[in-house]
Amino acid sequence: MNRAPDSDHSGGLGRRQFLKGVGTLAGASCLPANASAANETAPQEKNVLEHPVSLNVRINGKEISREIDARTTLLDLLRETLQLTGTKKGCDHGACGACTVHVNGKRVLSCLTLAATLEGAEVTTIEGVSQNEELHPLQEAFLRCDAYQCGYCTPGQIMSGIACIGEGHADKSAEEAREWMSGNLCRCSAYPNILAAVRQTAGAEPESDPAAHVRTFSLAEASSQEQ
Amino acid sequence: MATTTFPKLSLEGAVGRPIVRRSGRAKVTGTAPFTAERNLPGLLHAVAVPSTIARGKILSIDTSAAEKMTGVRAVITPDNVPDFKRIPTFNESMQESCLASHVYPAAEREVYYAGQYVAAVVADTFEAARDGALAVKVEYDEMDHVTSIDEAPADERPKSLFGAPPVIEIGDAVSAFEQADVKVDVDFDLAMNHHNPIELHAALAHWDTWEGNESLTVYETTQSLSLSQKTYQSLFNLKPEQVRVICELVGGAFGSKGAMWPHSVLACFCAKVVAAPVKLVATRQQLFGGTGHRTPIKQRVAIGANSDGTIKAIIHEGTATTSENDSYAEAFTMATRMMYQTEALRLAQTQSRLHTQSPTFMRAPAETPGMFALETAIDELAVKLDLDPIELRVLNEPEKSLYEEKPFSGRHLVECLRKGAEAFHWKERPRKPRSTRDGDWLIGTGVAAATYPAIFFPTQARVTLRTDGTAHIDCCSQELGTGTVTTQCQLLASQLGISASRVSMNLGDTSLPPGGVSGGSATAASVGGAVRAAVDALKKKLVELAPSDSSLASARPDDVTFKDGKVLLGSDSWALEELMSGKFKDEIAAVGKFKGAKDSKTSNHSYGAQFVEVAVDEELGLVRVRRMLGCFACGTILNAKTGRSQFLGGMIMGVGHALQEKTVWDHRLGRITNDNIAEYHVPVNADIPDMEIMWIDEPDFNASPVGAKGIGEIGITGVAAAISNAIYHATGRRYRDLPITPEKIIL
Amino acid sequence: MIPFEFASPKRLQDATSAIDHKSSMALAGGTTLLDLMKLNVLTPDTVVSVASVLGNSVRLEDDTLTIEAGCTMAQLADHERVRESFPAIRQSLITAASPQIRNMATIGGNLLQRTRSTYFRHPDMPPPDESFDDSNHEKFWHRVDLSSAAVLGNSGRVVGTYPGDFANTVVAFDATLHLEGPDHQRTIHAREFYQIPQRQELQYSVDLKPGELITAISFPVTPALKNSLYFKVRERSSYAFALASVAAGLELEGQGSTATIRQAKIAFGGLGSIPWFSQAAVQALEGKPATDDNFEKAAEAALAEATPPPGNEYRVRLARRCLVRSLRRLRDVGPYSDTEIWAMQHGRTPTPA
Repeated sequence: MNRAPDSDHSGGLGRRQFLKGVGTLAGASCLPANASAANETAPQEKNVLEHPVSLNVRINGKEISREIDARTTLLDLLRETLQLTGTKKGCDHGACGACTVHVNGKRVLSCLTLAATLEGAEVTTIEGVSQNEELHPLQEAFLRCDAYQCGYCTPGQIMSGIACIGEGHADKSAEEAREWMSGNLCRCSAYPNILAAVRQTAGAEPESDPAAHVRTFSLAEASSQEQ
Repeated sequence: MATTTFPKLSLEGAVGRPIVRRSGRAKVTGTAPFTAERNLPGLLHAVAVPSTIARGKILSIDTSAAEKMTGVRAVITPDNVPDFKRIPTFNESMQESCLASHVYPAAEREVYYAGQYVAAVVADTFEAARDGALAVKVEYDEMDHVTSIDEAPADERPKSLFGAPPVIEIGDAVSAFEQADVKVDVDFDLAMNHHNPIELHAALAHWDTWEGNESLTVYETTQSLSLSQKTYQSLFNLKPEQVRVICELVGGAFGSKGAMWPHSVLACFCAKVVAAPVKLVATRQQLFGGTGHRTPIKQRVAIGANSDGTIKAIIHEGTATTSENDSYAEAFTMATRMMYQTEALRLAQTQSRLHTQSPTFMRAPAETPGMFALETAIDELAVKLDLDPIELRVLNEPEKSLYEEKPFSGRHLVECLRKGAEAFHWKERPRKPRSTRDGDWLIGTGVAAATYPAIFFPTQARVTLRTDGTAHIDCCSQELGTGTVTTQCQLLASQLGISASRVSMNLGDTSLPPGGVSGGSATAASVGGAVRAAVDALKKKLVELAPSDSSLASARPDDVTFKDGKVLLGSDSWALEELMSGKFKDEIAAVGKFKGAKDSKTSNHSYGAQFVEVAVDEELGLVRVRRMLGCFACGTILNAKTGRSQFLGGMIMGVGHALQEKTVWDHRLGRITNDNIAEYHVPVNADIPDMEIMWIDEPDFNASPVGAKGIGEIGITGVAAAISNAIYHATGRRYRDLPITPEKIIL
Repeated sequence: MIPFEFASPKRLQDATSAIDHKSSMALAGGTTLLDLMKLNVLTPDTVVSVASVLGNSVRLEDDTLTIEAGCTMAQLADHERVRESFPAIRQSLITAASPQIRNMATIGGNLLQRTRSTYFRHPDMPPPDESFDDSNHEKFWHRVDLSSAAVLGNSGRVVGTYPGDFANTVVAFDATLHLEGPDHQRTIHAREFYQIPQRQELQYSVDLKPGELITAISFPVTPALKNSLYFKVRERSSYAFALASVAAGLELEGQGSTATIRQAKIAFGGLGSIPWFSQAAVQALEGKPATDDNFEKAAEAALAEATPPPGNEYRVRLARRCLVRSLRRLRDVGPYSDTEIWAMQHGRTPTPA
């Protein structure tokens, strides 16, 4: 069987539809139930910084200057302070790769990076990978290859994949690419699709949807074969 | 079968197409909304304090150091825990509660397992809460504990195995086995597993007021939103309108987010105490104890056959564990009820109680361990009989389900085995073990059957048709990465004769019509059934709306169809706008309710065949999987792209189950020692070889209202057996204990 | 993690004078320190960032390879000369951890990687204090976690295995560490730097005084370092600690099994409480013909002093086989290429280019 993707949105869902499908609910659900003003119960801010450290860092091209708690990791700074929640926390101990970002052009784990050490550094997160509406080719390849299921490890996989391609490990053998993508766990286990996406983007394989090559049979076809 | 349990449905058009999943763009850009990322004004952070002993009494909880820390707002202990009602758990009342355990967080004076949340710290920042939790000092009076299946008496029968008795006897299997020509009688030992989804379990609770009454909103990582809502209602004595639970996307669950674990309740307690919204994210370490696990299991499978291979008796028995206070029971003998023809069958389960968190569902809870034992034993029988293992299975293919005494809704196991064998080049396989070498590696291939039942959860969905030609589904189901939104939009699109791009869906919010648990591979059929019922209801409404002089007005709703946004009856068609003009509305909606079929006349399961090639280095104890192929028959595959991914994912988790996954304990302390995902190994990219997925595309309208039987779980079943059978073929040695780690393989 | 002061000195001297390795700790890549601080295992009052005051150059001069301590694992592995000429160094880096961690972890920090022993990582889990010899305790040992317990250098009780990879190459190939304090510099042979745990200690200690930092490491470039490899066996194909590993190098005079071994460099990973240099194996090999039989004897000798925890005897067998395989390979073919390593991880036979 060869099935063509729906002709009217071969690149995935159109933006309008996407907003309908996800955005509206996201908007609604940002409010608490029954929408009384949550602000009324908001506690007073107090000085919560233990051992404050001043930090100047560029994140996705934007200069960030602020006082941070010395204990804050880059991961918690991104997620809790800057609301850049695309970078994920999966283990907080350097064992899963979900928090992968680029610091000064190299892939690193933000959970084991103390934010205070980043004075003057250049950080790129998943939010800084695509330009406006234009997806990075690896992001497109992830869509094409269904290189995720739940999507939670995906930003880390993509940050790692972009680096893997840049390091020159994606376009040689499949074994090499698998090895150099092994710092990112995917419990849904989209590994074959992640591999395809990374290798296609690196130019090692032609662009194609792995599911387009699935062999399927009608019952009649399956029953009427040689024994 | 001429008539099917559910009337056949045309699945032309969108169904089956490999369209890109709906949340795809959000997922690859990092904008997909997961629970822990919600932000509310004034949000505080909570971190739980887990017990460090397995059983005992809490003598004191010293919160003073934590309370002095900058940013700490409150420490929740049994002394200040808010009022709540102790309610039945999931195991006791699956319709009313999804509470995992009777052990409540920060509310008990006793400890029943290590990792039990005995307190929590709420603070302005995550850092302060995390470090505050470390500063809480708990004094215990320790009592004896048992955490090893080897040390606990298996002297109890589980009450029920998904409604079936714990002992099933058909004929006299014991004497039939004794009298058989050829016998296999083998024991299996399976380690405890933890799900380890990459998204950490999280809950964000917010108490508020609504028209003078209390209201509770919880964002949480759950496979069971509607049941969570009911559970909170019962726990806190609230009405449905006072509780809203939201979970737009789940970052992997595999059963671990099916029941409500203590962190969710704890988040509600914390939010109440500090009167502010509170976010509580369990740490990776806390998931080992803070959430459930796949129980360790000891099994025996005995199969007796005639010398021609005809099976005369199957005995499958064993013991699993449960916790001290709860009653989860793993139905690991379930699949053996209907896999093979036999004259006599005996299935018997016992259980022991350990001082652990309650075990719970983990991907194909019954079939993953059960099929490992059965399908390894079948392979052993084939070896004894000198038969090809595929031929032995074909020879003992049953005509109907032995236990249910019903014909199969659509089995096709033989076809899966044959088609898979052909693609895997099974014919070229030498029968004898230790026949193939590649340098230091011994090469072997193995096969096993896969199966999973087709079940439903009661579900409601609202379908809205709009005059602009688009349609929308509302249903409080969950999106776990299984493609629910995408595939349900495809299903509705096919029924309306429009492109899937014209259909949208909202799920993940209890303000929508109630859905079922996203578990048991039941979602596609359950939500699909509700959507189908909603379409039927819409047809009725449209007939009522029709101008009295039109043929539509006197039509049987079942005769009405849709195409391109138009309502069709025979050769007549009406634009929705025409029918709606008198209503001054541009949309029409109806709710459909689906409860499954009463008294299904068929035995409803999916089947498949797993093929594996392994390389074994006996000197170093290494096993590597070199090739995998799965061929499945699960009814209609709703989306080739997301469907293939689910099969792949299941099979790869099977590699982990077979070769890697093991929760390690210090039974002296009653504690889990590899409570991280560096040492609890799950497969990495480099463990996974080239894989092929195939399927037989045959809608099954006896098992499913939409022809699709659900594919979330079948992929993992049989994999461990196929791997252990391949290791036997490579080495000539049997491995019956999981995981098959180097220490077992090395000579 | 307890609240701490963060210091980011501009000069090495300021850093060293601020560090006592107890209440005030050095932070370089962070991959060990932050992990263990979050687990409440390490609880410094002050964290001193040293990455910017450590050099990170890699130099090859006068047959000495000198690596400044701030060089990352990835940077060293990818250094042109290391790639071309020193396989054991490269391979002990690229088979460790993950690409992300190797981009962060410094060579200096990596040498100080702490044990993964569960009893070390959980300060609230008392380790078993009994001796392995107590044969009455068979049931007892079945009930505890010995998966990360050392097989060598354990005094017959539970101590943590040194989990790293690169340090095994370091001790095998006679590397020297350069240490610097506020007012002194000294060098120490890497083999003397690591000290096996004393009673009541769960992991190794190092000869690093308050105020001292590792500033560089230097390898003498020998023919054995060029004909070398790092062979690592782990439970899963990647991103896992070694069950056993070998850093090995051979300088041969002649061809095949008639060759004479002029120099042998051997250390084991994943087995010892410290990176385990094997003098016994070296002695059993040097000056002898490179026969399979001599390789087997060296493997026997290397593990003769092993005292495996109950149930861990297989790690001794595994280590012997890793060594014999490594030596055969070095004799018959020479170092593995990266491609061959990836092929082996996939259950395929490496085909030398």
